[in-house]
Amino acid sequence: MEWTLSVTQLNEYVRKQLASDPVLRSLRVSGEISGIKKYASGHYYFSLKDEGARVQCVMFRQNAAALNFTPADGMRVIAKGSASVYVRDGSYQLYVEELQAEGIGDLYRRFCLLRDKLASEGLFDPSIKRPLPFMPKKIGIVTSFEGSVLHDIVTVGWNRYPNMRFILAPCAVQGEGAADEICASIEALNRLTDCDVILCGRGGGSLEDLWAFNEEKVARAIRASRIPVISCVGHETDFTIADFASDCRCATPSAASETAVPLKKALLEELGHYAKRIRTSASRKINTEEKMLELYQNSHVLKNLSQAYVQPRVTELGEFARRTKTAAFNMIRNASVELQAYSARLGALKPEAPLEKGYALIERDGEIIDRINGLKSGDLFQLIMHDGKRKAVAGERYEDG
Amino acid sequence: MMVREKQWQVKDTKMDDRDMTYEEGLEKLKDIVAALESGKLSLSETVKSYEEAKMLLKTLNDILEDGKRRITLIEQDGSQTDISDMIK
Repeated sequence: MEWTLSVTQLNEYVRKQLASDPVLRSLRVSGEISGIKKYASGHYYFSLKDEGARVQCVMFRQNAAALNFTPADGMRVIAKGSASVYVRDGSYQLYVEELQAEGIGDLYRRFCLLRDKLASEGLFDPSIKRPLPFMPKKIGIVTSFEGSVLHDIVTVGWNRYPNMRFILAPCAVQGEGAADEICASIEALNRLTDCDVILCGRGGGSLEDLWAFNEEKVARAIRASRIPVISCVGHETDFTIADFASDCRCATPSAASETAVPLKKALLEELGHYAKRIRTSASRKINTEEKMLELYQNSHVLKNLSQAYVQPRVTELGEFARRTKTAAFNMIRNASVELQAYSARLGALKPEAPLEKGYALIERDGEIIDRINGLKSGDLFQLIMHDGKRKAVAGERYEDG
Repeated sequence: MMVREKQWQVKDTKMDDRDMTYEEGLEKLKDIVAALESGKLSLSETVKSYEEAKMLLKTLNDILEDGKRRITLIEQDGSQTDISDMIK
């Protein structure tokens, strides 16, 4: 007899068949964890795999809470649980109730060994990390030409800083030879360009996909770089050796671009802010000086300068002038007194002056006669006295004179 | 005293404004702003510092506006190609 089933009925039927199988109801499976994700709900979703196959697994929160370790990609584990069908998707999966770490996967073990070796060498020391430039003029990128990483870095970068310049040194980021290409690109940027920071990375993937970034030579190339390197490999949860070795680890290429590229708008705003502060402080200084000047001008002292300062000076000056004048007057008066004295003395020297005392001059024909023998008896002469002249005649000379 | 010293620094390095990094320029600018805002400069020092700050602002702005957006592809042999048009 033929049945026509709905899809739901089919999936339900298979589920019931599996559920009735005693082996599948309770079993232990050994394998390596791959692609593990923990959701906000607390459930874990991952694959268990070996060399030949993989199976989807889910571990619900109530079971996950009992774990005594954090499951991670690459770990070899033994999962205890049941296999059943997820009706909605028609897929079967392992419902894990307990998880035991059996050991760690090959790749994961290599990762841990290399990480510990390089760490003990000091390759990851915070003290040797180079500082990132505050304002890079040119940014180097080490990633593949294909893929979204280049696009993400450049788009985010140009959004933040519209005239930023990038220089791409392309390389394979997975598969054979990828590690060598990554090293060569880092080296080429150092040797051939003047970029001041390098972004190095790729998008998310499995541990195998990201493996090139776990190679020792890449870690050493990053440390050998003169230019600081920002790593951005995979997603938030992926950590690679390159991340430990780099100068700065960013979760994603976009985040790396945000870290490397400053926000130009903010820089311009900052400059504007300083320009304003400079203007304000300079004009405040000038205003202060002006106010001081004004204050001086309006001060009581200066306002009443004439009364307080000039007037006394004028008075003083007037006094001085008066005194000078007095002095000059006195000097002149004294001089004139002196002059008068001189003039009196000069007056006394006048030839007429003795006449006033009763003396007389004897003159004959315009000549002063100053000897007694200047006249003979009978000579006519003039007798000059202080108030007039008289004609006179000389008599006989006295015998005893 | 500190203010004076920083003033001298600004003066001394003024010659090589072209070679300084944005960060160095910004530090100098901050020093001048601090000196100006301290109010301790004389009027002539204020005017001088103001002129220096204006020059620095211009230099920093020039650095920010320098160049056009571009992506260059560089090969191992050093050959370079402009691939800016390939990113939209």
